[in-house]
Amino acid sequence: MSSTAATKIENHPLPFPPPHAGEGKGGSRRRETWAHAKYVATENPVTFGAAIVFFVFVFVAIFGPWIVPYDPLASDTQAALQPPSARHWFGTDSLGRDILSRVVIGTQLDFGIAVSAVLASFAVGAALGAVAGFYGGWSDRLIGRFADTIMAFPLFVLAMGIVAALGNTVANIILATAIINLPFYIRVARAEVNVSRHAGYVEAARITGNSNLRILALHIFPNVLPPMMVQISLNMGWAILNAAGLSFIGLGVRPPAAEWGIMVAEGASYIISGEWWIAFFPGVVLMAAVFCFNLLGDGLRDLIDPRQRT
Amino acid sequence: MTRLIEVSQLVKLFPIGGTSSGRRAPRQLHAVDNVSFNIDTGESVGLVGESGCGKSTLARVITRLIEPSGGDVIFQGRNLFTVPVKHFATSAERAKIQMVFQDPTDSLNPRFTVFDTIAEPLRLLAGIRDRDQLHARVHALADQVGLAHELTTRFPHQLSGGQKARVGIARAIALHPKLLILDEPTSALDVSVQAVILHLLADLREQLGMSYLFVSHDLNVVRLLCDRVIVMYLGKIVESGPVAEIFRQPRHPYTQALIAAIPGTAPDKKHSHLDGEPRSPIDPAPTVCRLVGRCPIATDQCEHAAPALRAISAKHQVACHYAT
Amino acid sequence: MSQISKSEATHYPAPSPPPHAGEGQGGGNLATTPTRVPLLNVENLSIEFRTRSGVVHALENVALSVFKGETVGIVGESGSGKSVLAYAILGLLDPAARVISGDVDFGGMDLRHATESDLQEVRGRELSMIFQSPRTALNPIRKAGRQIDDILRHHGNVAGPAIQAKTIELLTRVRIPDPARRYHAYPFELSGGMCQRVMIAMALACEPALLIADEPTTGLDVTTQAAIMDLIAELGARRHMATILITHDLGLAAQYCDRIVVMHAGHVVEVADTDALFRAPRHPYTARLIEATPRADRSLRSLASIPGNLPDLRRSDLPACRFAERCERRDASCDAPLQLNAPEPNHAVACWKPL
Repeated sequence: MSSTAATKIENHPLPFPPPHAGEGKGGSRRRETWAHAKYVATENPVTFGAAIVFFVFVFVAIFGPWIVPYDPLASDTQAALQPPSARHWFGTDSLGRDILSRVVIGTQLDFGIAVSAVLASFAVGAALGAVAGFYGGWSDRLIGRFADTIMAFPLFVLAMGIVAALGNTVANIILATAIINLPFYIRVARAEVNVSRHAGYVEAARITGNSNLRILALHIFPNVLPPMMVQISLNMGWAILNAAGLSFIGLGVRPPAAEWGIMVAEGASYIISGEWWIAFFPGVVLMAAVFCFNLLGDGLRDLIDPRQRT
Repeated sequence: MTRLIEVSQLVKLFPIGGTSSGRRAPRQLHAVDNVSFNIDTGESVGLVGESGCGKSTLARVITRLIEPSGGDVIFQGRNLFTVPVKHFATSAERAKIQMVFQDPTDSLNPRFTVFDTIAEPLRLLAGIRDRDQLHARVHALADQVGLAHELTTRFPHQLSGGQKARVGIARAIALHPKLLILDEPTSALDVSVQAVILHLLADLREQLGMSYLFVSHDLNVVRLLCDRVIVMYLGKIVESGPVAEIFRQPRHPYTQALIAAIPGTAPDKKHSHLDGEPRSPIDPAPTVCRLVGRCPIATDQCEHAAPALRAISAKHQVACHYAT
Repeated sequence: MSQISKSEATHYPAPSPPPHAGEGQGGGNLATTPTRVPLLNVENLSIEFRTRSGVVHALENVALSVFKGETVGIVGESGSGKSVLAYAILGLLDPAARVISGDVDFGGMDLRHATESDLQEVRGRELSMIFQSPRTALNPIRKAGRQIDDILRHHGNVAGPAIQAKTIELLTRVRIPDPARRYHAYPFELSGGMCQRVMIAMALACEPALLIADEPTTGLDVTTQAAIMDLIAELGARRHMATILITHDLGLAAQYCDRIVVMHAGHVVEVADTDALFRAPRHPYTARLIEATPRADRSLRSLASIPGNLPDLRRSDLPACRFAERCERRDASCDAPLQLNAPEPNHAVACWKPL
């Protein structure tokens, strides 16, 4: 016999409403989400840690230019290739620029690229996927083929191709990253909307006079948004890696801009000669950022739907 | 008693096995197969049958959640299907035919408060925009269904099963519909809550002069709330008549088995069992009675001529060759 | 915590021999031998669940006895704890559950303190269960026949080559049409009724002494329900098997059970022979429940409802009687710790002011 018996109890809905229900009026939902968030944070220290790291990154990204000890672009050949010290916490690179300052400014650039790309990708991809999932038929087939075409390419190579064709600007990096992430959102949105299409409240919405578009926009979309937000967070890490990767191979941000990928590229050739810090620090920070986004995505998923806990 | 709605030769077919051009015609599942019946103003009609009989599909075709494959539905003298589906959502008829759904949890948008849910039909179909007016109407409806005012700011997951059921009812009666279709409204509720909701439905019907089409598999509940009963099997009506008469003296073998199967406290009930599995609803042979293979009194004639619905008394109809 | 005196539990006289299949209750015969040993004896069982929103006091001082060959119905609404009781007997409780106190004795074996391997020996062999939603209780990616084979193989009663034949024989016994072909069917290819028959075949494969049926017909059509219940009753009677029928449907319990245990919010509130229970219920909740159930001879007007709601079982200040707050007969004496009293032989009620 199947062993789902033991877990059936947990999924059995309680016949009475949860405590604190209805305390306060409109704020009840916010209060409940906050209480739930605190619970997730305390039960899941890893997520809490990731959230703290995330906020540190955001702070640095926003306030970077004001807190850097040195000008990230100022070169000082006298102080070139110095190991980490009290004056230069992360050491200096081949042109004598302070690596700590460059890493800090790089945060702004990388985060900015990732956030813009992911949001653009989400906006367009979710809309396309929702239409495909809801209406089906021709729109589904067309949009599906479009997504398949993108996915036929190795995505990183496609990004390289787009940037190579259009030029090495930040805008083009954002565009390329957004395009290669489109199929991801199209699929998720299509699947979620397709399932929600048959939900009872959608039928009820039809009966109360909603047109198809209203149903899609006001009823279905707000309900499929939470699971998609999890995808966004997970995707963000990948987008940062993408931007850094493009810069690493020279198809991204151009020097002397401070960006993690470029810095790792610049430092790569110095590892052999012993100047490890040039590639190490930007590399570690890059890793920490991606890791933090992934953990945050898992935590977000717990916040929204505890039954899918990994 | 005036005629409120007239369902005439309604058919709903679902294609099975995909539809790719270049092959011969796909097989069809006959969910609703030539169904005709009427409901008068103020009448409460029960629609019973087991899973797969087509009663839910029929209810959804009448409310135009699903489009029919054939037949007509004349509502207050007007054929509903003459209005294209796209415009029906905003037509005058939309407000007059409403539905209460089976699963109160599933049929409420989890992101809408109770207020939003009940106000939506008022906003969309009655065009009420004024905030105060909406509040007044929603609170009046909440009173009518026995929902406390402070519950209107809650979300569905903060309500009990009975409260959610009331919200669904309030939403459905918001526009004073003429015909209320209830799709198993109490089957997901506990017995004690069910009793309250049934009383509520009976009271509302009197207060608002609505007609009910009560779809259910629970015959005991139908007996309490309905004047007339229609019994369906595999997409066809097999018997229809006044509630008391059908329960006291069912004529169709299927109805007899259905009533005998109700678990009751009388220990000396004879079970007239239906053995075997139901016939397939996919491309059924039109000349064979749907109950052949399970029917205790079937004969050769039943395989050569499918019985039509015929009257055996003023209001009682049966589709069987041998019903006396 | 309130105490239910043990002496009350052992004073249940043995019920009359099991009825013939499908003929419902037959338990009115008051035997005079008071100390027949029950097959299953649950005493003082209290269970809690630790959840994110607090500790749920799911069961409190539940006592249950089932004798060989009888059919006992456990009746209650959602939240009454009847399913929790069933899982507790089988040792299938969720990890969040904690058994605070109580004993579960099955044929001399202490189930509560048994090791997992001992329990696995007993489950499926002497003690079996069939679940609600038959289609989801079966493994969807394994053929129906093979699932029955697994049970036979695990309990080692049948030699390897003979297993398939025995399975087909079992399928025949549960009246599945065309059993040889259905052996190779997957659960999604079978109707709800047929899946339930497969589950019955699995449960009865090793001829258990006790079968627990947890809402076996919820979700099935009325005609299928009747057929399935008759099947269970008939197969059970043939083997003198005891059955626990868990249901929220009073009518079903009335028709198929010798004795009925009524539960409310984690308490056993009344235990009686079926006939006696419906003729003269002693607990106010039972009476209300009977009045709230639609019946053939009842009008809508006489359909009563039960005021109030279930108490929130997460409260730390739960009263001794969990029905008191909804009861119109309540007075000061109801605050005393609850006890299962027996105003008549064969009829126990946990109420200080019984009807």
